[in-house]
Amino acid sequence: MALVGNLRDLKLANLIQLNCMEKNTAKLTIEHAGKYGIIYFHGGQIVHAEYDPDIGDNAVYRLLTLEEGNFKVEGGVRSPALTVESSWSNILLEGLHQIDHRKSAEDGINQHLLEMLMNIKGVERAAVISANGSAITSNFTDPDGFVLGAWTVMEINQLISEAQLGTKDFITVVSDKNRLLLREYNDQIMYIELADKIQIDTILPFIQKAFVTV
Amino acid sequence: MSTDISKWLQDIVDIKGVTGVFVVSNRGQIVAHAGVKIETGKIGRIADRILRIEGAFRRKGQSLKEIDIIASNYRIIGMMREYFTIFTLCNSTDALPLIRITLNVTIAHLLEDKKFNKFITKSGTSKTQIINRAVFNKDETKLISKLQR
Repeated sequence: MALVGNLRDLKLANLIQLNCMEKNTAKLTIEHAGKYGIIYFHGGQIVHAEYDPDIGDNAVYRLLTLEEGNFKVEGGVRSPALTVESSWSNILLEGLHQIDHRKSAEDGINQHLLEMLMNIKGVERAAVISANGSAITSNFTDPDGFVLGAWTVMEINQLISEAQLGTKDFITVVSDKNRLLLREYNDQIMYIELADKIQIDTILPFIQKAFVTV
Repeated sequence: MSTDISKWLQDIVDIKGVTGVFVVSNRGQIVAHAGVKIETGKIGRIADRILRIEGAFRRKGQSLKEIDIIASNYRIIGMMREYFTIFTLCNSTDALPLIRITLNVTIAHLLEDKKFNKFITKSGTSKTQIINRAVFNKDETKLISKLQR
């Protein structure tokens, strides 16, 4: 019987460890955002991996970055190819090292972008938030505001998909409390609060320039 | 709808870059429009999503006034009032200040039009109700549950 679940509940690193330590021969399929990744295990090692466009070690490294996605482990399925020769423990160490490295690089970029935005006249506060409304890089907290920002982006994305519109650059939201500018980038959301008096269309080119520069 | 409303909406569509304008009730129904004809369902879906955003803001005691979707080749301006939203579709924003002024004038006219107000309040529903009645997918449910009433 296949083992099924979501990477939210069981991390890929743990799944790999489990299959290799148990010396399973198995096929692990992961579905994330409509794309499929596959890892084959044989005799306690990873022997083959695919995650378009990567094959082998790099496919595993990229799959390790996924924080969610449905998975299925089918026991007894043999690999059609041999593309991974490193030991599973080396692959895990290198993959996790790459994630740390990427995360610190992203933190640096976020910090730099926030500094650039804060230097624009009319920008009151700015933060990088996740799609679930949590702060990623921010020097202020507004949990409800961040969730409303993430909610707005999620609904607008659905709207664009349902109405078959082209990709968007920015969303602006004016409420009786504040004026927001939202922009998705690198799977994150830039949440920008603008001063009351500033015209959004006046400030927009400067904000666009900051994103292009970073 | 009255000929006045058609004329007010036509004034917006006559501005360079505007392709269509739609007045939508809180139930997502188009009550008046001018310019490009868009499949009713499509505008209904746009309205429905915008109303869900409004509903979430209302849940936190905020009132939305405007939402714009900005892209390199189009812009959708949504201006909200208690019982209706007016959507303006643009393919260029060269005359944006004029579009905004005309929209504000049109909204003022609509708010003063007794027939329109009687109709729109009857055919509408409260914005706080929208979010309570909506059906959400898994991701939406997870996110909206963070906005406790």
